[in-house]
Amino acid sequence: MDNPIEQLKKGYQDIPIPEELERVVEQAIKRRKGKAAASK
Amino acid sequence: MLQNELEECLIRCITDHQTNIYRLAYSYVRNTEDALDIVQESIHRALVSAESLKNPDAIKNWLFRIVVNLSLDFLRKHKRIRIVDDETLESYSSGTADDYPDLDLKRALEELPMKYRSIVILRYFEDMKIEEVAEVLQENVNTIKTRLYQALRLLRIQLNDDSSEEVQ
Repeated sequence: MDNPIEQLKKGYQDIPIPEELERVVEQAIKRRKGKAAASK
Repeated sequence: MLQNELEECLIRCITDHQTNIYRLAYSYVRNTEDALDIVQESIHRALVSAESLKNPDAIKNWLFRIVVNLSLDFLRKHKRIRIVDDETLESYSSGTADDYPDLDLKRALEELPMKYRSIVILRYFEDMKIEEVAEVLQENVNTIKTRLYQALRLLRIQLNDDSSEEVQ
């Protein structure tokens, strides 16, 4: 059996990553870039 | 470092660590929508306040600190932080394990007060050094070591590798 920390770590790494994550990250970055450009 | 370079560096860090950021937020709020909101807000806050970043080498720790702080703010706002007194905590560690060790361990981690849980997550799941955990949580190294020792005791975990030496 894995050591207890490894078992817990595996549970953490198994947290599913939603498909929207990439889009959310991209939009947040784009929004900031847009605001920064507009303020120049 | 110039402001543009710093921002590009930060964007690269955000992109490279987006799944870590998400999992970190999710481990607090346990809900996809809320975790995504925290990711979005964390990126916004990081990019807006990038100029306050003193040490560009510590960009990842700084970003993780924003995620942890926003997650804790969220939990406070939604009153999802439980206050557990020392006596109750002690009763967790003195009980006997049930017949489902994996389940028991997972539950024990979920019931661990936030100040301990954050340390376990950052140290063991995000593989950060004690010094980095201290930087993210803005505590001193000895406090982190003590809390990590207490957390492992509450989880009834005994490590038999090098990790046990760092908390002594």
